[in-house]
Amino acid sequence: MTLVNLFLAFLYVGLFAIGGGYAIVPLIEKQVVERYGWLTAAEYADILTISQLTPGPIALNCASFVGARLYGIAGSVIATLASILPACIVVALIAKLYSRLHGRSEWAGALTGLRGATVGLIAAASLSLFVKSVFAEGIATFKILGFAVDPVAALLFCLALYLLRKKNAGSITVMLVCGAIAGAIHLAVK
Amino acid sequence: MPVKELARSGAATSKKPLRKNKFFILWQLFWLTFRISAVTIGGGYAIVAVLKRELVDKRGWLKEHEMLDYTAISQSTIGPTAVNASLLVGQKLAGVWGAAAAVVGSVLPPMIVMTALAYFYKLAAESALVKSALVGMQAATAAVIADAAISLGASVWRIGRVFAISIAAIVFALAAFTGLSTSILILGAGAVGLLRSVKGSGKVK
Repeated sequence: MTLVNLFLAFLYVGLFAIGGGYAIVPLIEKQVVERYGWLTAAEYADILTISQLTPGPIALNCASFVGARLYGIAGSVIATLASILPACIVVALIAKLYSRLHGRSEWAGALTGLRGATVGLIAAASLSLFVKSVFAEGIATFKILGFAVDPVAALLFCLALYLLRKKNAGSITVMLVCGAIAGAIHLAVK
Repeated sequence: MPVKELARSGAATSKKPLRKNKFFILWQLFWLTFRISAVTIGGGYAIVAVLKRELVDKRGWLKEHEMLDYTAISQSTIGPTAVNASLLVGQKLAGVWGAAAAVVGSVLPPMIVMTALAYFYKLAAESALVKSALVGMQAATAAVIADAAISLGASVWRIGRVFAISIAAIVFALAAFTGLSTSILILGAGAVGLLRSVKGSGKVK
């Protein structure tokens, strides 16, 4: 019975999770903490912290974590499946619509607007992640005028951008290399 | 048909071409989204940026404007951007099974990690070494996204010139400095573009 509840709770999360990211944090909290009481508020806060440090969208991370807590691997699979099912159906339908509308000239105008907006959003995401990694307690932190600044993270950002744009390095390699350098510097400083 | 002959003779096109073998394509899609999902920390845009680099720049399987459209669609509908974008890319390259392979690939790594962490999460959350390494990866991810923004910005300039770049700048400012939701920004920009092409001489292409 509760396995069904688990499925329904995350189906609900998947259905109403518009925009993604931190917009849906309270939505999940309502289901998992308030409605079903599967996690305490403190445990939920822990998951949020972990989600920032691990790969994957926050909704999926919560689903896997809660599912695994309650029913092990089966629970994890079911909760994950439920949380992506609505999106998969909707997006597949939109993809059909997209290819049908493609030749029409008004649609081309709308697409120009959409593409512009996407570039703006991507740039904003880059800025926010840059601020999050550089102006925070991190690998080797300094206080400047009361602000925490991490010059190592700033240098790694520059190194990564250089490797990507000038050396045409693979993005996965660059991320792993920067992670390894940060780990090594942490050990050296400490 | 010369094109067909070219394909039959197996003449190497630029970059790594998609092979004919269906299973090979599905495996490639799965393995690519699996690896991307496993190392990309920093949200949906990070995944989009890496997908763009791997599929558009390195392999040439998709065009830049397609990646932009998929990003807009992924962002303005329900569900995580990373999963939506993988689904769209997979469907484009190999139909329904491609979509399934790409989605499974993108979902598995976080599922495995979080399932494992459900048992011993305190350990990982409190390790300073792990935290530092992750900050380094995060800085690199910011660079990957910045790289995508730069080259996609150039592509948007080619498509829509001043109009598209102005939209990009306005949306950037609104997204970075106000709390407006991304779906509203995307739909608003789409509506402005639609109005412009309906009212104008229709020279937008």
